[in-house]
Amino acid sequence: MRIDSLTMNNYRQFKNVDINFNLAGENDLHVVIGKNGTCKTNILNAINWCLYGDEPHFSKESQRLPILNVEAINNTNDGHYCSVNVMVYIKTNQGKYMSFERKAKYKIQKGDGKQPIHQGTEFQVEATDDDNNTKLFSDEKADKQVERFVPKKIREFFFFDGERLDHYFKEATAQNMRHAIFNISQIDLIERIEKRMVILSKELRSEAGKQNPAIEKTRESLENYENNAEELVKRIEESTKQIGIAKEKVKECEDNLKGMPDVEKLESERKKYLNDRDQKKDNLKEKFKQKNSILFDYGKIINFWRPINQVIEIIEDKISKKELPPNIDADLLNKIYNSRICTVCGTKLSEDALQNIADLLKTFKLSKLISIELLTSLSPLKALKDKIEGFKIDIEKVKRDIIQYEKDLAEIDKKLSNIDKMLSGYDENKIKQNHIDRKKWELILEIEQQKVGSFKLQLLAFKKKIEELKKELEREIGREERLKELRKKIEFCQKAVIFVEKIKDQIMDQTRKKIELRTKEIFFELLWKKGTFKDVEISDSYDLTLIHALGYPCLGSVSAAERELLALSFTLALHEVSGFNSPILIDTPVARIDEEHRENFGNAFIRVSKNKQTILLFNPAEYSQEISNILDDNCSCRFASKLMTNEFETTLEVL
Amino acid sequence: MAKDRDRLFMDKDDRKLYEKLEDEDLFKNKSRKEHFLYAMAIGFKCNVRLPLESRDGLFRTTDLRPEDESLIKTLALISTENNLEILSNKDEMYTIAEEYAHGGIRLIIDRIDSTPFGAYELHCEKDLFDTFNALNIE
Amino acid sequence: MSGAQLNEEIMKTIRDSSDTDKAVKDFVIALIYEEIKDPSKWTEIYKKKIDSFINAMEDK
Repeated sequence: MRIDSLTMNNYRQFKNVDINFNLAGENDLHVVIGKNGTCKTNILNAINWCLYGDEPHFSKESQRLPILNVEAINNTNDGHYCSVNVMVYIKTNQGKYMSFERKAKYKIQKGDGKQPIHQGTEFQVEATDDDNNTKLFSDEKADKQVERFVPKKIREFFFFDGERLDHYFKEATAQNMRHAIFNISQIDLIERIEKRMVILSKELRSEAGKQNPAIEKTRESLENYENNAEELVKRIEESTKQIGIAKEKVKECEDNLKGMPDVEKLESERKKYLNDRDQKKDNLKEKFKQKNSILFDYGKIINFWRPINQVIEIIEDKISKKELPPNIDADLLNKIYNSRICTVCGTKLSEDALQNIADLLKTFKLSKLISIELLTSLSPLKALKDKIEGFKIDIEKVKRDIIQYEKDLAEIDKKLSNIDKMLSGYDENKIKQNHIDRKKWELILEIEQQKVGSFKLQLLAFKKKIEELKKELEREIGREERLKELRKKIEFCQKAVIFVEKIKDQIMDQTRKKIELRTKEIFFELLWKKGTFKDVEISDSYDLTLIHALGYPCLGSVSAAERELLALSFTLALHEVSGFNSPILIDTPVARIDEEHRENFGNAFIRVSKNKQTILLFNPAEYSQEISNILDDNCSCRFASKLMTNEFETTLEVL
Repeated sequence: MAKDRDRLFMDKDDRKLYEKLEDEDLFKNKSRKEHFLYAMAIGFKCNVRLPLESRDGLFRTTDLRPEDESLIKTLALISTENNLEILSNKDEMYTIAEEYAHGGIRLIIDRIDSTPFGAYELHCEKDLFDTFNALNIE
Repeated sequence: MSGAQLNEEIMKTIRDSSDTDKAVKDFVIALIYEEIKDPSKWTEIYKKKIDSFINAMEDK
């Protein structure tokens, strides 16, 4: 998953700022150089505020200022409303888009020391599926969607201050590690039972212990929806305007590029590859659907393979013993035996005849109904058995197809990238600039079109709600109307608590081992000094040990850079084991690393960014020549903050 | 004899969970019956059988195809230690299926909620391979 | 309905655990089943469960 863009409106010093984290080249690495103190940290805060509704990375300077942009407050009349909103657009691993948006509304009060009054906050998530249908989520459902991007309790491993890398293995290492491992082990339920059992154990031991507010509510809700709808209309207008501009700009760039003969050929090839790519993407999507269908169908039956075999054996055994198919109905025999009268000739049966029937009944144990049920099951069960046995053939075929399409797509991307390089490699700066501009405007066009689509859908939902609330409001206005016994319990509780603790430890232990292995692998992969260290261990008491090549523990004596690299490796291992391949955003990533190692650390980030979106927030001093030499040409985007003359507003410029 | 029942039930609380399945690629374009059978399989695999507290109709018995019925019969037989009499009691067979599905749907939703977008399918795939390999089919 | 669901890993680890009384295992499983219903009166429910499990053990 990756963050596609971040939009901040009236959020602290960012009045209207859009940061598009476009992927260019093979490194999903993005650099933001924040010239003033709070800029970088507030980007970190904006993401946290949008996703989780809080701002955990505060500087004293920010605490004194309202969340609402000061300039926006100044431009709003007394008693009027002003909103702050932050949107995070993400692209999931399947290429689907989602947006997370938090919006807070304030009533402005003019006068000395008067602060804006918070009117309410809304959080909404939008997801677009393969067929471009958009789904809206709000309240708990929206929060659940965030949990599937970066779960709140492990967010500190995704969005953090680089300082934590320096501190992580310096202080309270075992607590830090335990805390992290607990958080990704998903044992909250068992933890709650443990806590409750402990409370009960303790308890057991202490024993041995307006006019009509409903109408006003509906009215407020209606007004709220109406304001939101109004806001959406404005945003649709703005985006539509942007679409027009973008379309024009794309055309302008294309026209400029058309005049160039070689460029024209490359252009036509580019178009052909783009079409091919779309086709292959559709095919790949279809294959993924097929694969999912196979996974579903087999998921439904595979666990029944042994039981199915057992039942088939039972049926076949009955057939071989000639109990199936039944030539005598056991129900009928029972009826004759009980009535003692022959149902054929109506005569009373002798004792001998009754005995014969009883003997016969012992042989034919199955009623007609059971026999039919068994017989009719044989063929479907055999078919299911055969199907299960073909699982690997089925799944592997579709997997091979998927791999082939993915290879084809990678090949096309490579060719497109070569064309792009060739196009931007022309000496004529104008052509190059046109090419760069066209890509930029194509992206803007795509984003704005997507925005309009989702805004319209949102608007439709709001309008529906507005209608409902209007009717509701009409209706409401129209109506105007418990010492031996105790010991046993304590013992039982204790055993249960011990058992629950054991289960918790076992699960955490499994997680710890996985993280230990991955931390080690990642650390040795990223490390620049091969051969200095031999091993990384996380003991069962969660102590981390770095073993020197000569066999002694050396964590306390390694350089800050190596220690931070170990913390980074641990963080990335946590990402993997938790299953969340979400972006990593680090504020001041190399501030505590000496100049000698900055280059190495920069290279480590480049390697990390090949598989994971990496966003690094630097201050100018930190972005020294060493780091700049490494990152400038290897990152997808670089941004620098610029403080506007009014000093209340910061913008970001693409470098 | 009691009249055969015409539908299978879920717990009232499970309706939201079944609805939630539709957001997941793996469960898209599948009927409620298919979702039920999948949940039943997961409940059976994890041996989680929960009695229904309140019943809410899920789908009609006429929707069940012979292979679906065979799976339910197999589940009923295994759950009663191969007591063939269970086959003469459809109501009880369906109740067993419903109880496993009730446990299963909760296991599925927990897994979905705790996995990142797109990772649920990967989990299922790994699970299927592990299960298949453990069967030692030649 | 509670936010808590049945976790496959937890259920498997409990069931695979071999050196614990069956009664304790079943008791913890029963509590899990109760927890997923998000009991507001959990104290009463837990106490009743403790009583019923202890009585069942004594009956045996």
